[in-house]
Amino acid sequence: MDALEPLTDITETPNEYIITIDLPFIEDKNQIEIYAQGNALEISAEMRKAVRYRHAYSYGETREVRRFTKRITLPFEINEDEISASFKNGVLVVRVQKPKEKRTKIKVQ
Amino acid sequence: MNGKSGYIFINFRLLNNVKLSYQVDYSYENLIITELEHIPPNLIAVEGFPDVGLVGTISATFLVEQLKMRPAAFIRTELLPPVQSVKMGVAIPPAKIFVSDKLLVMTSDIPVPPQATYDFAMPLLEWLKQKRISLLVSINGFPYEGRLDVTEPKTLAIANNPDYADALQKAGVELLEEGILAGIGSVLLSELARAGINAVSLVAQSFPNYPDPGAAASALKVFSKITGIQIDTKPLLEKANELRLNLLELAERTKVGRAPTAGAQPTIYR
Repeated sequence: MDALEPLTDITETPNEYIITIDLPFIEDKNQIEIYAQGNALEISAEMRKAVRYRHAYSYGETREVRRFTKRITLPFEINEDEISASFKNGVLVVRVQKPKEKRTKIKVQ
Repeated sequence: MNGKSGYIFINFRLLNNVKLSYQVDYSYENLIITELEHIPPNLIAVEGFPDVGLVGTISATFLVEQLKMRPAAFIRTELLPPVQSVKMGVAIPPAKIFVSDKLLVMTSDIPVPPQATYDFAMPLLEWLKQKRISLLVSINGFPYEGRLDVTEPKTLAIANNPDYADALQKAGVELLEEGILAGIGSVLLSELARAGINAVSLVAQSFPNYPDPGAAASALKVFSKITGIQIDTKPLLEKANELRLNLLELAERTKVGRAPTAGAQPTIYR
């Protein structure tokens, strides 16, 4: 049974990346798994039962799907303590803090 | 909806009942409207082309389904990518028009490229004037940052003349006080005002890039209030998951290069 890539938005702010993922047919946060490895986030969500998905632009091809998977690569090593995730109204929001940049004062000669 | 057909395509099963012996072409610059049946005057026109949250598309398609509207015309134009929708083995232009005894609904399986908006809308406007429509309702979403926290999104209206705005307000419809309106609906609104035909754009608080059946349901409630046509939005909300899943690809394509549809003006301009 195939997995489907969900609709995803990534917004960058000065301090964090906000990733929102639309997860239709996912009803509960326990159906979602998020893994961080290196600079990548792997998100998957399992539906309670398979549903028929119709490709809009592939000659009407239909297939059964039960799982969403999404891999997102960020431009820095992800610190697992700097991630938070919430799930509401079928939308997953993952916030990843950017690493704090070291600020050094340079003496003017 | 059954499992063999996507939501926005299902109504073309009705094509089996269309008598293709009637075909009249209305030719304009850039665009031809081929009527498959005689379309009478005084209908209320609905514009529901793909936009923010696919609110227009979802609303239009739901109206077609719930009111059992007939496919009555195709829009053929080189302003859209050279693709055809295939339904039941038959190639059909992706932009089409449905009718019932009161309504005329315009929608498309593919988004109109933002740079073609004006060229697409102007001939459509000429055709709508020729059809002597009584009112145009343009249904759109506007990206709302707090959408995730809103269970019942709000729909605001924008009229194309002050008298009609007054009438809408008296009917209990909330107006967008100030802001910007873009897209096909915006062109139709301003040009219909010049032609003395009332038009209203309904903009529902929507997820920016995800199909939003909740926003469409909200827009359709206001649509009912304006037109007096009763629409039961419960079935729409019941299949919200199915719609969000099956409109995934159209949503992906619509957000690429999309012009902003509507929204409140920055505070500084108020």
